Amino acid sequence: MIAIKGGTVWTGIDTIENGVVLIEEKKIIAVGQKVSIPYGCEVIDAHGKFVTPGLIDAHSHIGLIPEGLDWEYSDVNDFYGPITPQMRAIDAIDLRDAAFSDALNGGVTTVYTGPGSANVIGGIGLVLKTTGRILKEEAALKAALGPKRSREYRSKEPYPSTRMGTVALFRQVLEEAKLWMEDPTKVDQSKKHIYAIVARAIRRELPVKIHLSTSPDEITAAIRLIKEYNLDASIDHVFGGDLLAEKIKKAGIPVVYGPMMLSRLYSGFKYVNDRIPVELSKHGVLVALMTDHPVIPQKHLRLLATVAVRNGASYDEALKMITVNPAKILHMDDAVGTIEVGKDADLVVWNDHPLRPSSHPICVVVDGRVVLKNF
Amino acid sequence: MIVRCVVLFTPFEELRNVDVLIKGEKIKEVRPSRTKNDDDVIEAEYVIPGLIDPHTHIGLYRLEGEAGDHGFEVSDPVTPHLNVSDAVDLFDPAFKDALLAGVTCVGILPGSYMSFGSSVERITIMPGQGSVYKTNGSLVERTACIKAAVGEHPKRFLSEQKAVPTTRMGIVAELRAILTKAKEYAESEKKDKKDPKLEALIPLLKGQIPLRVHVHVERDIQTVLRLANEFGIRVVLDHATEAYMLSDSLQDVPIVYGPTVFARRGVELKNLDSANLSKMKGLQFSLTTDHPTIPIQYLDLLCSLALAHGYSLKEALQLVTINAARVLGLEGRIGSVEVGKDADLVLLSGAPLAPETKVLMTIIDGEIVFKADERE
Repeated sequence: MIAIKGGTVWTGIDTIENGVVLIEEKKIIAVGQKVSIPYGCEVIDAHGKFVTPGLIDAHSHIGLIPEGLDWEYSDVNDFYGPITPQMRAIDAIDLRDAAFSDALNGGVTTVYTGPGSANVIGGIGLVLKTTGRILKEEAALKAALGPKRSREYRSKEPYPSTRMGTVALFRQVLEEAKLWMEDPTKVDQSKKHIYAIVARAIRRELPVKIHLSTSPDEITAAIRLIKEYNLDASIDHVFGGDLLAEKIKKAGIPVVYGPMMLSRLYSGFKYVNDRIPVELSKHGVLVALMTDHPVIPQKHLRLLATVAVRNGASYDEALKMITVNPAKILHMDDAVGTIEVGKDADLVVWNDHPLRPSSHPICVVVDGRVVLKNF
Repeated sequence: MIVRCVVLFTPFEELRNVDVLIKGEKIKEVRPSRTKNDDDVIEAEYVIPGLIDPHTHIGLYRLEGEAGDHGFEVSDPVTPHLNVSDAVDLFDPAFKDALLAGVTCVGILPGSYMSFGSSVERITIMPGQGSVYKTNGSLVERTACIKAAVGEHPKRFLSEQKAVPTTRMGIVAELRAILTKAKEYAESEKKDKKDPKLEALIPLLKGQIPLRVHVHVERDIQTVLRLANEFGIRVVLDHATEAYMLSDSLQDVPIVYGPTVFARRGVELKNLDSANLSKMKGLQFSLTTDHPTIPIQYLDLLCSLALAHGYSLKEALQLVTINAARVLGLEGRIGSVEVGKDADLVLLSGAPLAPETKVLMTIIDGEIVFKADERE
């Protein structure tokens, strides 16, 4: 049994001064000011320190583009063809990537990592703890509506070159998957395995992450598709989202913004704007922040929330964007994202409020195990 | 104009209740505040010198990858006669972003930035001359340095172009060849005709401007020091990812470190880590965004990370003010609030480097160039 005692405990719901978090095995069993600490319990003294849930990154490619290697050694985009739901990130992930221990020591404990955006449907990502424990092998289906560049590889099928082509292909696959659901004999039998996966998205069994990187017109197209097929989807990157805040709010679609700290180059990132998550949050949209690791190293996730504060978010709002909000978006909020009884004991003790620049983790606990202690 | 400061970071000292008197473009006096209400007084809480980023590509990459991408000349890997000021787009919105964030002076260099869309950095061996600008668009120094690059990144660019040389040895041999030629050219009495490339290298050989070298790994840093010694030239190490490994031998070498928040992409960047700042103490270095790698408005954010690695607020601020001025050879003119220096000041709503602190006003050369109520 472990007790983290005396710190300012930010639970994700409220802040408890001089609080106690009691951990038994892998779970949190008590939180509050008046929690009695059983005899023989290991006590971590957090007086004058700040305690938060482990941070959560809802969109990254950690373990798929190992550090210290060129991006050619990446396993993130397979140019097999524009529709590849059969690609599973778990079949490629390198749990020995040094980025995992960096992330852990940076207070990041739960992450989504998955295929990139080269394909219209790229594959299935997973959710894991940065200690390596897999939480969901198949956490979300990755789709991308951005323009597809013509590829130099001999792909099985041609890539669409326009957004119209991309959306039409996406819709066609969804329609064929629906047909497969009605009568499996009616479809191209060589593509049954593809439809079987897409059907899970149509049944809302598999969430969809729709990647948008260039402009607001992609968001409009995505909202239309999500509504039309009643998908359980988040819109990721969401550049230009500030221009469509009301529309996104009305559609009830959560977003994962980032990576942050990109320049607004006219060619690719004209609609990048780090005020987007703040604006969307003000409109009532559920917002999480992403590192898109390795674009921003995952250990700097807390720095992205600091960027949100610089751009007008409150400290609480920004901290939620890297804890409870991504937990909800990844459908992991029954296990992680807040400090509540019954949840996984993923906790970080910081020397100061984690969004203050001088802050750093001095103790990290994952699944009830102390993985960093640096008092 | 008088800026009445409750707190002034010079940045050598933290002064309380002082007036900064500005006459024309310069700081005329720094003295204890007077209680009487003078005319033309600006009341300020926290004041710092204008921030400086010695290594940016502002105005060059607005149209990355398209016609209008002016990062470096791809037709020839050795072009010391090219000057960025012939390409800088003064309407790049990054200039405004800089003013809004209190960045008042930038070095603009030809060459690579770390595009996350591309797989690896690309740069030629000697892409040209860098300039120094105030962020209101005024040119401080047109020929401020010659830029060069060694290591994996020029190697990669050349191999993609199916060009030679193909190794580190070859790249340094090219640098040595042109420097040797320029030396002979400078020493020769009569010149049949002007050679623009060699002409451009004379100020470097005379020690008037430095060679600023894009370098990351330890072995390449050693090579640059050797080359500097061989030709008796001044060098600045730009990026210098592994400089922390050589902290003993780099005591007198100016370094522009960073950007410290970026992917550890390729063997060249495998040791990139903001935590290395803790091992850089004692070196004369400044920090960079490498804009557009990290947008220029986050210079102070990168700087704030130093606070997590053993730097005091004053020490951290020096990394983006006086140290940066020294790298640019302009420490007599900018980088601190001292009598006789350019009146480049930033007025803040709260303590410097705190996330909630906003820039309220930016002054360059004694002129208000940004006021918070003008924010869109």
